[in-house]
Amino acid sequence: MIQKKICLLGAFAVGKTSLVSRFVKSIYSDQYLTTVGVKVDKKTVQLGDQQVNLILWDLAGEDEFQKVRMDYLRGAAGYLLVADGTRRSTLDTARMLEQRVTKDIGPLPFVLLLNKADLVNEWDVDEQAMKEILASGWDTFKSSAKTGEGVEEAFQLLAKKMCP
Amino acid sequence: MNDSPLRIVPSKPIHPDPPDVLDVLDILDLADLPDVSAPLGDALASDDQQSAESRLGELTELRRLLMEPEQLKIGNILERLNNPHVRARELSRPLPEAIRLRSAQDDALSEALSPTIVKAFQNSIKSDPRPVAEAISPLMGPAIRRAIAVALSGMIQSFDQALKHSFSLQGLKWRIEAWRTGKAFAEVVMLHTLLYRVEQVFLIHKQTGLLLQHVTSDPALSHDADIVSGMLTAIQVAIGNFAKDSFGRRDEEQIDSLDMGDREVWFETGPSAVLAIVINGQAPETLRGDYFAPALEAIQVEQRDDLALFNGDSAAFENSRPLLEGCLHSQYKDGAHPDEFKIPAYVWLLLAALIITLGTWGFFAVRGQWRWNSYLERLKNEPGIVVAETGRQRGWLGGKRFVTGLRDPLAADPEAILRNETPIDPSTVFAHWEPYQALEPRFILARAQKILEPPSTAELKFENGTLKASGIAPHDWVTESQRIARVLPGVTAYDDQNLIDEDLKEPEMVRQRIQQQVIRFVTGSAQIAPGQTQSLQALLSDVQKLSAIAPALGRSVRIEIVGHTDTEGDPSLNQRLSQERATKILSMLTSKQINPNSLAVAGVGSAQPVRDETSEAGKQFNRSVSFNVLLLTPRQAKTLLLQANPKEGRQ
Repeated sequence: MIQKKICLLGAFAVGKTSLVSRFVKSIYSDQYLTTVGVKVDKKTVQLGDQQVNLILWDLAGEDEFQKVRMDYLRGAAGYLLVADGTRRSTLDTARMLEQRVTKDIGPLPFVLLLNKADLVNEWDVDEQAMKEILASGWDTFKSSAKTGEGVEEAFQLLAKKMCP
Repeated sequence: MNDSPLRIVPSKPIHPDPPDVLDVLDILDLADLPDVSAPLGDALASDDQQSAESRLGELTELRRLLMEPEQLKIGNILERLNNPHVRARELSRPLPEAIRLRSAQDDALSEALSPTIVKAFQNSIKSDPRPVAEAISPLMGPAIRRAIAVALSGMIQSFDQALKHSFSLQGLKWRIEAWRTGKAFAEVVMLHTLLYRVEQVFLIHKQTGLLLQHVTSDPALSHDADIVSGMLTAIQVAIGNFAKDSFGRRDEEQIDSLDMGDREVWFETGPSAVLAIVINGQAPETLRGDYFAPALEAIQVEQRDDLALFNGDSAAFENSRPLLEGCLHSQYKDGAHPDEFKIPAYVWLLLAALIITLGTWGFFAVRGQWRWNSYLERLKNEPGIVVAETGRQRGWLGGKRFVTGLRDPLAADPEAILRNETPIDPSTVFAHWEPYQALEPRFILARAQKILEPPSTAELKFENGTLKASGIAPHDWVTESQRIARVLPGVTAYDDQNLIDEDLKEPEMVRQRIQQQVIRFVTGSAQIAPGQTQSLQALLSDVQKLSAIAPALGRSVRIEIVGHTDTEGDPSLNQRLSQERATKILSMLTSKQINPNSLAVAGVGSAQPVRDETSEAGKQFNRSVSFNVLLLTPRQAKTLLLQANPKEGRQ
């Protein structure tokens, strides 16, 4: 069985933890995020005949008071980048995080999740922004912690990108 | 020229024969060869100039052909001797063998080289100590650790001995505590003696934090090791960041341990891998040097390529499992692991004594029970005894055995059986028997005999519910028996027909005499045959006598006069004739003041012959009257009267 370390990155309160909580095996409470700054969970993905254990480092979200520490990304094989579709600024944060990861750690496979897809009426990311994201070649999914939309697909795609 | 290295010494003696050209050339000093050509040139000058030049050319060519190989060899030799690089290369080939040979001979070479080597070593350390330090560190580390371990081990052993001698009764106390608290003995020992125990060892890939291998002392702790491994790495990074931010700690400084109450997590960090060791209790720091660091070093050496090329597949690190398992150490206060706890000799002795005592007690208990069961079985098979309940009374060591039930007073005595037929001490048995009357035939008969107490001349029998009395008994006993026998339990009828009342002995004899009388008659007539006067008088006398004494004995006399005929003649006439004959006797008796109520007549014709008619004498006897005499009790008389005349009987 193959193991891969992946990280869950995004701005503060984009719903990272809620998004994956239904899909991962967790033995630690969310309190670890506020105390240690990271919580480690596990997600098993089936890639053909091979099982891949994704050891998921859920990192505390970034805001104006707290930056994501790149130390946690050392050794990661990829990451999930989460932005809140109802807050345009979180997409900018995601872009900035991607640049920092590339600069500090190096280019890593990643998948962008535009979260809160169930709140389409409050959507703040316009078509133009979506086109820009797609034009940049980012693999992007709309996701929802409420419906579970896009999460499993994102894990599958990221696993494929890490284990080509 | 003798000092010149270019001098060629002949290798073989000069032959006496004229040498050939080559031999001549061999002995020439090659340095003088150019001079050889000069006299040849002078000779040619005196000859034809052209031919001389031609021959000179031929000689030169000849010299070249003859001398060139040797000149090449000489050139190579000069090159080898004069070029220091070539000489060094040449020297390096036999040098190791030469050193080995010389070192085998004596120590001259070592002595000669020692100062130079020492000087070189000093110069090397002076200029750059790192290569030397790196070279000897693999040797120095284990050596130092081993020396410290030996010293500590001796100290710990002496400490253990002191503990053992100080608390020799500790094991027994702990056993009592385990018994009192209901805990397992091993658990109590561990609580009291555990210093530390390495519970889990995680081998973690340093760069990724992914779990490479995991071993545990308790299989129940092995779940989700990969998540725990990630979290341990994350915490290590978090604390490292905290220390860096707060105290200016450098990146290369690693977090050594985490204290979590009764557990600690120690980290042993290598270039490519990290050991995270979970320890319960207070482990000595020497464990790092003794076990953890060597294990990590060995893994990093043996699996250097696997660590460098790790891409998430940890299968290759199964090989490191034995090394990690070697880290699962534990230490107890008295040096005794709970699983290996040795029971003191006196405990064994006590245990043996207990087993012997229990065995002896068990033997006697089983034997006693077996005897008791046999006794109970004997009682159950004894008629007139019904065992209701058995057991043992409450009390120290079980108390007395007891047996309760029903016992017919006529049955065998249970206590006598206990005393006489079993080895059981009667004082250890409590018995209580409620009396009852058994309805078994032998008990009914025995009870009747006990109650009626028949005289020796009488005998009682019990058959199918009827108590039968026979023989001779006093009149009082006869009448008392008739009264009592019917109310005896189990007796449904009383038959004393074969019992003769002692008071009725004479009447009985009279009765039998009357019944033996046969009064013969004349053939075909109701006239008494002649010659029977004496018989008639005896008959009358007996009837009178019987009628006189029977009422005094409470009996009434009933005499049935039965008339008979022989078989000759008409049966109806014979019937009437027999009736007349009986009536004749009846008249005779009544005429002599015999109560006619005690008399009855019956004519049976030839139907009930008195004798077989095989002779004339037999026929004569059948022309007669016979008598049936009954001495009736009042009840029998009443019954008989009812049968004869129901209406009158009721009145």
